[in-house]
Amino acid sequence: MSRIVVLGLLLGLAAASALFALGVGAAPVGFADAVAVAFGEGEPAQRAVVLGIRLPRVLLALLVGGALAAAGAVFQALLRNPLADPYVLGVSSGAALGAVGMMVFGAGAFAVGVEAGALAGALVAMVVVLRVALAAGRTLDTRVLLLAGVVVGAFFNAVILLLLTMEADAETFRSAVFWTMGSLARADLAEIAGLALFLGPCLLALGLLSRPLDLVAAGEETAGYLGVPVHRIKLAGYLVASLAVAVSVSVAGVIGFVGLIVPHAVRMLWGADHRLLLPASVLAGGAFLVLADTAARTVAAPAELPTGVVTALIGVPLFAVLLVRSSK
Amino acid sequence: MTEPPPPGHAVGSSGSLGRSSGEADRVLLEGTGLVCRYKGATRDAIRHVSVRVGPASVCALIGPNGSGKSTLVKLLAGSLAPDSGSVSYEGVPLSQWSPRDLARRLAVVPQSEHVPFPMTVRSLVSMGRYPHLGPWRRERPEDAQAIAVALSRCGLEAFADRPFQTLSGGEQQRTRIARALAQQPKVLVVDEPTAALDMRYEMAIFRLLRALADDDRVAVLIVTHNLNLATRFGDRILLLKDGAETAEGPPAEVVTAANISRAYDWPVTVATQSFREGKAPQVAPG
Repeated sequence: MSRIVVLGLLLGLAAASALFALGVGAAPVGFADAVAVAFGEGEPAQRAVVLGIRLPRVLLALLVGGALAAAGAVFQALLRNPLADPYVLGVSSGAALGAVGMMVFGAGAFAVGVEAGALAGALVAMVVVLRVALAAGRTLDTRVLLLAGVVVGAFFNAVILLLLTMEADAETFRSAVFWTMGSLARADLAEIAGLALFLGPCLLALGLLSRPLDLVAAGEETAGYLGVPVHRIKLAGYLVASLAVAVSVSVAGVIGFVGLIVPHAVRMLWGADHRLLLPASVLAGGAFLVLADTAARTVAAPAELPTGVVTALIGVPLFAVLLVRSSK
Repeated sequence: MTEPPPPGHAVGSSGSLGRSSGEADRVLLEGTGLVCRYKGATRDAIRHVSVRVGPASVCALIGPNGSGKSTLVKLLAGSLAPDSGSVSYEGVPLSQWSPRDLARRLAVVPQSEHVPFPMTVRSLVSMGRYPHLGPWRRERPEDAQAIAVALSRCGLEAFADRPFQTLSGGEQQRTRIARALAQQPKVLVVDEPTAALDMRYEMAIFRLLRALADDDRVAVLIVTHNLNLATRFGDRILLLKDGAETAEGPPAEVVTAANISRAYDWPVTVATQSFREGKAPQVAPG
């Protein structure tokens, strides 16, 4: 299949899942109503549900799912490791520490406080991991970076557990655990617009790196001999992808598996060329997270499952099927 | 793969372009007085080695394990900076070349690198065009042409759409050489291309490299442990031991029983044999 066809197909899939997600939910507002609202009609109550509650979640899922999947693809390429995901360099642990710290020390009453804490934690983790990796060698050694990410992440997780056991009451403990499993329920449209304004340029920048990423993924040494400025490409890739992950996580919490599974699935289906892999991952990741989040808020309605749990529950079996079929 | 014409050093090959045009003395890639020590090491990995590689010739770099062959390749390729001495391409120090400009002239095939993702042979070979592409990196007809030529030169047409991972070791190695050919280089440096390959693939690769020198006037520098093929296909041999140049020159002068026994610390006998490529000293360990 040509690139245009694949991307068109995935764009259709993302649009269809968004439309589907707008039409289902706890409130008795169905498909037809959602379509009516989309055309500027419908009753005020229906408009409130579709535009006020469901639309922000759908948009947030598209953005966060797309960003995580693209970042996952970039990390896998730069670390030359199919097991890498957007969180492998410790960004999520830093974000979680920031968020939990805010909850434990009282600012948790304000959602903005938690998000700011998460963003700050993610950025601190990013800087610490890069500093450690760069201090260890003249150039950014992929293996050192991976180790630094894992170790710094483990340290942050230990601090989180320490905070939770020493300082947190039962309610804080519960919300901290929920936060780390990710949720798309918190977003409002203004925040989503801000996120889009930030993630758009990030994704474009990653797209500009796609050809060098192909070469680095196929072998760093050879890429250098082919004229790729390997060090600069790696640094730019890590920074931009980490920033995209940091802002996504600060808004949505740590939603797992999207960034690991989606790029793999796209590679299995359409190959490892980043000129296709990156945009396809953005669309497929967005569609996947929309569907997972729709399941999270509907299957046990009115109760809500953590989105990060649903992505794993749906994603892992789906991925296993793909894996078995592709290795035959 | 096509049958190679006789190499330049073979008997009666005075008609060979490399020798008759006076170009044999032209130097493309030159390393002078190279010294290199790795961080934390107690001795130099390379000690005052000089290398010159000219068009339409094959230079073979031989020496025991740990003698500094791969280090020398990295120095010549510019991925490692020497502690003293200098490397230049067409007289211009490597540091003054932009990586892209250099990659259009000098291709390096390092020892095999793991490819962690499914990629087809064609997509890997097309990466060789990277230094030639414009800012939007769109493939032009001449890029497609260069890729097709590289694939056919390495006998890979039938494998072009196969995933790299499903190929045999010999086919993978030919893919990596094809990627370097897609760069359309004037100098090709290949680090142990026949490690872990069987006799047939080994011969195929040496013949291919010889043909590149003879037909396409490429300057080939090959690192190898196969002394007998090095003498048979090489115009010049550089023998390294403990990072120093032990001998340099035509195969018959370098590959002698005395030189090889000393370098490898193992008794050998050397006898001259005739091949289609010409006469070449052949080494048998004692």
